[in-house]
Amino acid sequence: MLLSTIFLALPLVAQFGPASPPDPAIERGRQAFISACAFCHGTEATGRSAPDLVRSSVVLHDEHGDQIGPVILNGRPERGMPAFNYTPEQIADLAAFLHSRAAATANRFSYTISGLLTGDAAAGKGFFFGAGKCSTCHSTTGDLQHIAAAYEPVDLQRRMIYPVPTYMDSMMGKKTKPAPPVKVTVVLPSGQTESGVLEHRDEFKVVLKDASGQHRVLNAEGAKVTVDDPLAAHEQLMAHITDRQMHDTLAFLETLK
Amino acid sequence: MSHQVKMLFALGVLVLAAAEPYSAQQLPAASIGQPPRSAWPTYNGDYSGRRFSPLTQINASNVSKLEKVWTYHPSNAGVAGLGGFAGWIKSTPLEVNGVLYFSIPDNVWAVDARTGHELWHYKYPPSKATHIGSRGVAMWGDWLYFESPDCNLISLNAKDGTVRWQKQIADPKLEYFCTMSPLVVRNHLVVGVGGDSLDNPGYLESRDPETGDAQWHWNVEPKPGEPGSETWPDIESMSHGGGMTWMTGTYDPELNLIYWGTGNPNPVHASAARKGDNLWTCSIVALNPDTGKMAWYYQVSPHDTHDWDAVQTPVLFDAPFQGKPRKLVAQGSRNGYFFLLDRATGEHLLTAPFIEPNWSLGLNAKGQPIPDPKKEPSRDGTLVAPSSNGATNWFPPTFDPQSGLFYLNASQNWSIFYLTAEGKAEGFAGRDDFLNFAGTLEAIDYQTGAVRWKHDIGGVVAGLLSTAGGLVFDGDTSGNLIAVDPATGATLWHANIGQNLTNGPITFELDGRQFLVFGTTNALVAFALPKP
Repeated sequence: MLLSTIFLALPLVAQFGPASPPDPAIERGRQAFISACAFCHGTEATGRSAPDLVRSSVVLHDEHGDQIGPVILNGRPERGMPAFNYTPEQIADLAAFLHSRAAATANRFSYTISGLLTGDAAAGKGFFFGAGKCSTCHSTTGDLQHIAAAYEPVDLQRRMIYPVPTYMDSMMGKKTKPAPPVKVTVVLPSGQTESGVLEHRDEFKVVLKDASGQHRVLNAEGAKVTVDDPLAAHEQLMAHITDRQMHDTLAFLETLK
Repeated sequence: MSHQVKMLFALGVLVLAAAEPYSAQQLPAASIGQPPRSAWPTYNGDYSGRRFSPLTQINASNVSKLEKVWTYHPSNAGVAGLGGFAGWIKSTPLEVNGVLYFSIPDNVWAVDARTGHELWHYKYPPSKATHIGSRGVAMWGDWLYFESPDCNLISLNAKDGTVRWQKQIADPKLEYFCTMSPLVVRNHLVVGVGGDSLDNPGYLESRDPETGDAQWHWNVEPKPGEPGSETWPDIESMSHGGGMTWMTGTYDPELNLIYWGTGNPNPVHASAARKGDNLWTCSIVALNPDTGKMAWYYQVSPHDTHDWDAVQTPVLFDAPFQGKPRKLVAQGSRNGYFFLLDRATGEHLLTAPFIEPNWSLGLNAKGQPIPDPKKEPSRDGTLVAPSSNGATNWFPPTFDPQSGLFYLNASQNWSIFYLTAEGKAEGFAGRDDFLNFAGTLEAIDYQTGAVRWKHDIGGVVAGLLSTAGGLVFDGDTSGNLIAVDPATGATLWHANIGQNLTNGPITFELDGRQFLVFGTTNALVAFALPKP
């Protein structure tokens, strides 16, 4: 793969960014909901004997309780819902909670990924030093020392497979180490050879930084370009590692606190 | 168009249009669907979805002489959100009578095709709806049609961009959002909808292009008791089953069928509460444009759990298959497989992967990939090729009848898919963590499914055009527009255009000069051969 493409934007991402700081009204609404509504609507408002309120048209059309309020105050006797004599403030709190539930459901980037540590660390260690050939380039007492303290399990698992910052990292405000430098050698049609750290490559040009720190823009057409990409082993790993091996190896890396 | 004119037009009295060339009919409906020469009047140029131009002035022998004619930077184009994607010109412009019409979310422009001079700009009020992209406008007579992000269908006067009417086609409060370029079929305006974050049902509607009123409504999910309902466990799952219809379909006038791809089922990544095939999500469907009745369907991803909308253009062409002439429909689908069907009957002819997907146990008797349950999203993560972004996406493909090859921009990518929902799964109910974003232009032999050649383009953000001049146009992700040999994929020409190509390029001939027009992240650009 070409380095320039790694940071490509995703055309299909709908919304970005982590959840905003909690609003105290939401928490008050949650408590009120749990005590008065959850028995029928479920603690997360996803419905039980009474309807799901997360994807409810009434809730989604509500503004500050204007749709939810009448339902709370009047009940829905024909469906067995009693009336609740709530103050406007209590209704506003309940509305805030219900809106937060819908917003949290609709925004996948607010979802919490957890429960990754299902693997067998001993098996992962075996893979690391054996079939996975991870120890060819990495050391548990060198570059990977304390690696589990540097990343959340979800980020560690991804970087274990392919250690490159993605566009999503920047969109979600994550700080991740840049990809390791790639060495490139270009033999031009004249026979002249240039080498250095690869900065850009496409079909028509190669840009490298040479030993003196100079940026060199070279015509790739007709040139012989040789890349020593430390990520090549990860590209192979990505295509062949099993989910079991991935989870086991993550469990092993998690021991490197 | 007045009621009287409509009547006369329906009777075939086209002479009226000829007598009043501007006021009556800029784009008579009967002229839509012809091979695109002086006009590019629909999203795909014609009804077939081939994006193949019969023009030959620009060809393999002179493409190296192409030069830039003009660059238009859209006025007042700032669109908030989505890390800047929203301002990219993903729309395919229409070109009618020397005027280009194109859009980004909340904005439509008319630009003179010869000079790039702005004629008018329409700005829609901002809304909270997702501003992910706008695929373009549709035209019928003197009117344009635009789907706003918050799902208003807006009819504009093509002359000056003034609003004739607007009609709601989906409820944005429920998290529907709209991006599609509507499809005009005679006196039907077919509109699709998007938005899969709160388990809304998908549908397709036909609207009256004169009034905007609904003509028919086709639901992606069946109702309880109807055929297809046996592929859902219960009413709850069926009525929240997703299946958005966010890409423009195609049309066969002889068979009088429109062809549409449907999106992924909901909840997107969690499948426990929707066991079954989940019809008619992730399917290619053939509908009667007059009634909305389904003639046949073919589901390319039964029980999808990876967000692989099968909305990619169903491309129509007539060609031999196993020695027999056939009316064919082909789709390079987001799930990584190429499908070929008989478009009269829906009979399955061929399935072949165009990347190396790892999520299937093989093909069943109908040629459908069988999902591997072990490759469904999981709490501790499942490594899957392709990512939710897909092996391809909305990027327009092209079919070149001269080479007999189907071209698409493809991506061999991987992602780790997670389930996240606690309790009842709703919405996406999970997320995938993208690993890489490779991209190649691929040529697929439709008769065998074999990938004849691949051309590295870095990543994928845009689509394709083929021409009778022996050229396939594409863009790489290093800001180069390229033209390649349809038979070999060898580069014949390139120009660094400063930004990436972000739409499907179009071509048309005006005053005897063939123009190539395309969109980038911030401009509309025209190329042509030097004037003699």
